[in-house]
Amino acid sequence: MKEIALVLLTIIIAPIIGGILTGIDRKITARMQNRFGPPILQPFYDLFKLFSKETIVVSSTQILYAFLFLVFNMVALVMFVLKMDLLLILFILAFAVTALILGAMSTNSPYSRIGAHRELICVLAYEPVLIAVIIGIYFVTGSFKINDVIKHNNFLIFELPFIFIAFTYVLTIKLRKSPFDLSTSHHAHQEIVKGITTEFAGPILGLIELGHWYELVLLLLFIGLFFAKNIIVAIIAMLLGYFLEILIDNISARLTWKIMLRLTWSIALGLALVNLIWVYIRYRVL
Amino acid sequence: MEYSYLSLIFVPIIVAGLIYLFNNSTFRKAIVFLMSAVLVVLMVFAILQGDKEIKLSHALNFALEYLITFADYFLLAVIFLIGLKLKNNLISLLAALQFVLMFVFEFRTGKLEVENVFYVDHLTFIMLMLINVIGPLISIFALSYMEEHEKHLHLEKSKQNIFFAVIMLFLGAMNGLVLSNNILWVYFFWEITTLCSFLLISHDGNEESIKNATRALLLNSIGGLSFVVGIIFMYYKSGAIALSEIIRSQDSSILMIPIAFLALAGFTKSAQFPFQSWLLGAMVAPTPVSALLHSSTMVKAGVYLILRLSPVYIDTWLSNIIAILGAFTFVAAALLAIFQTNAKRILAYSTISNLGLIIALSSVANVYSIYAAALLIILHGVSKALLFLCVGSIEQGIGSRDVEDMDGIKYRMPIVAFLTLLGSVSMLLPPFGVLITKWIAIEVSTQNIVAMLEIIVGSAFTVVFWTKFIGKILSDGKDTKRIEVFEGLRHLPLIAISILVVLVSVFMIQFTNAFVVPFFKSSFARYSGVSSRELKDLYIKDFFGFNPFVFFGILALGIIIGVLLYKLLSPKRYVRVYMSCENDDNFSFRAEKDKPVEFEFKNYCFNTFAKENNITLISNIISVALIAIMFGVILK
Repeated sequence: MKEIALVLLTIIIAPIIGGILTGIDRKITARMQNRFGPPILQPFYDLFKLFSKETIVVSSTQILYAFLFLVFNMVALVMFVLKMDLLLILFILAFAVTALILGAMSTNSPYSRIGAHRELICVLAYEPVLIAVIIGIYFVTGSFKINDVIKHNNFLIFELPFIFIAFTYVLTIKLRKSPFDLSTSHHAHQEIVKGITTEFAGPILGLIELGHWYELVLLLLFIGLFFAKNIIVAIIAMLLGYFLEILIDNISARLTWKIMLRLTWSIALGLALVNLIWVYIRYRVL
Repeated sequence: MEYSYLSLIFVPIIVAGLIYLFNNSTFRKAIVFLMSAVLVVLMVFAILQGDKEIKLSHALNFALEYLITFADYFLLAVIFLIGLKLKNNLISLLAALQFVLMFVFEFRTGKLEVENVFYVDHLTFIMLMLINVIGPLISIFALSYMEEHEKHLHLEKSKQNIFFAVIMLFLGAMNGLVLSNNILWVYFFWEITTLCSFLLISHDGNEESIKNATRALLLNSIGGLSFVVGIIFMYYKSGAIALSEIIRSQDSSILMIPIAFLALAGFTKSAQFPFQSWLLGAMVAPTPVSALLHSSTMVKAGVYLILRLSPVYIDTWLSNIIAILGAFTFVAAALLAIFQTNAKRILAYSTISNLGLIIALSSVANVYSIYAAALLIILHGVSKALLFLCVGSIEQGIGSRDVEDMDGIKYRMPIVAFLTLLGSVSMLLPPFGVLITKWIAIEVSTQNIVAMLEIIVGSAFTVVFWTKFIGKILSDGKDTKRIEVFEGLRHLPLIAISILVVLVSVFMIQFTNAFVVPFFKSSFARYSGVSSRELKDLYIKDFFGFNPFVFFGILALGIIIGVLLYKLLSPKRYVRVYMSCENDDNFSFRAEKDKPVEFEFKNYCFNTFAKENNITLISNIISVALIAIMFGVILK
């Protein structure tokens, strides 16, 4: 009973938090750019407006993919809140992205297909790092279950500092922030129009937007995992992490996918590996 | 009852002879159907008998012993002659070496008799199910496929009699391979599969197919030689030539050298790096051959041998290195799959990759990894059979096996496109089983950090190439005219296999409990106190909390909600794709004077990022190095 309440609560509250965070993002971004910026509740107005629009599509299957994107993100978040297996959560998250990519590829639009392929390249870049992060957590805590991870008697960040850096690195890709906003971006400076979401409109785009909010909350919770010993520290870390992403977003220009792939595979994966090997030796060999 | 085992081997071989002699289409159809039914019945009967070691009557055993010994020498002589005819001295040399080694060995040791001729346990059942259900379904599909295939080739005289005869022989040999207890017999059937694959790959008789068949024969002959050396070492180290004795052997350390050689033989047969090229070359053969090689025969023989021997070497240095080797193939093949545009090559690399995963799982000392390895043999078998047959049908339909030409295939060939989608989704997404095995692989391989890193990177590659593949099948194309007509002989086997694909994943837990757990219990008795535990203790309720029923339930619910939502949001209006308003339709830009210019969008193949050949070369070098390390560690 308690669990069902928790699930319902998550499903209702997460998009509210996600929306507000997005609003704050836009406000901060505007201030950094010397603009006044929209009200913090603007994302909600946008969303309601999207849902009030007419459903127009290029291919009728698009609705399904947008829906799947939302559902997979929701399921991943719910699984996180229910403290289930981290690796499975990651897989589910990967399928959310897969759904979005398939949605973009189902139409014959060049912009959305380029966006889809860039998103695929992003998957290629961040997926191994994310799994490495989870393996690192496993080596330290001895479990893949969040339930056991949060019971760990120390801040994970002390034992996984490099892995944390690698994680924040790929978070930029995952949140589609500059310099890695290759596949799509919230700002109108894409050379591929709106990339992966070009062909989605009205309520269908609304579903995707909603999915993004769940995704955002989930990814921030991952940051919190590194500070799970103290809930207040964790919340501060999550907010700081988010602010850092916004800052990076505003001070950098987009890189090409080749540079992104090279950088992620060398720097982020390298950092993660170094950290992995040392926790492996510390916890498995010694 | 021992006759049911004997008939599983000899019925297909006799049928092969009949098909060869009577080159008549109606007769062929009738006998293929009849034999499929007979094989399934025999298989069910064999499974109902339970685990067994079967003795034959003395006279029969004696006769078989001689028959197989002489057939073996005959087979090696045939391969020797084929080598001469192909002007490939290396093949002849390898065959001659095997011949001489075998002869000297058997001459010196005298009579090597194994009392229990057949060793049948639950792993055998798993393989029997794969061979005798998927194999016949592929043969039935081939009946319609080959007619069409020969129409394209404009042959004067049909060569289908040879084709089907070899396929039947192949199935019989596979049954023999998994049933035999005497490792010399296993070797004999192993060599038959090598010869059959050569004949099938070279079936079309053109230059390219003969070249690729030669390569397959060469690489598999290396495996054959390694097998012989393994047998000889096995005999001199432990005096055992019966699989049942080898598995129960208490002292695994003295068996390391023979096991390493046998594992190498398994690598060649399962097309692991650096031996992968023969399986890719095999793609020139008619599609049913690819389906057969990739799903229920040939490549599965290699992983079968490694999983069979796994109880002996598991939890040793050798197992760590084999796990690293398998996982390396997993990642390298998945990476190379990203570069491909030829659908059959994508599938081939995916097979190689999955076989690597099976080998890695077989070598990790963990209950779940053994479960997953056995499961993946079946899961991969059914999905890959379906995918190859579908791609073959698409190829005959649109005249191309290039993924880039498959835009709009969902309109042109809806049935096959849907089944292809099912097959590829079953290889990637939950709730289908292949994902679960990948997940288990990551969770259990944490004790072998190198293998684990390979698997996590490979896992990302897998997502990329499957998503590309699925995206193409689901994408819109200009040509939307339906060209597919329902054809019983072709579509019913496909539908049957796709039902199996779903069933295997839905009943994964029940399947594991019924077949994999008893295999684990009987074979791994030596390992970590398994023998003291009851069969019931080893049963699983779910895989780390993953219960297929729950997930398939959620999937069904999701579909219902999806349909409702679709009704709710049902599109009011269809629009053109957005191209800065410079288009009249979805497929062309407006250029000067409003003249439409068609555009084309192809999948990224990363050719500008790295060269496929370089990656192949580097992977081959690394895998050779790893194999050298394997032998270096073992041969102190």
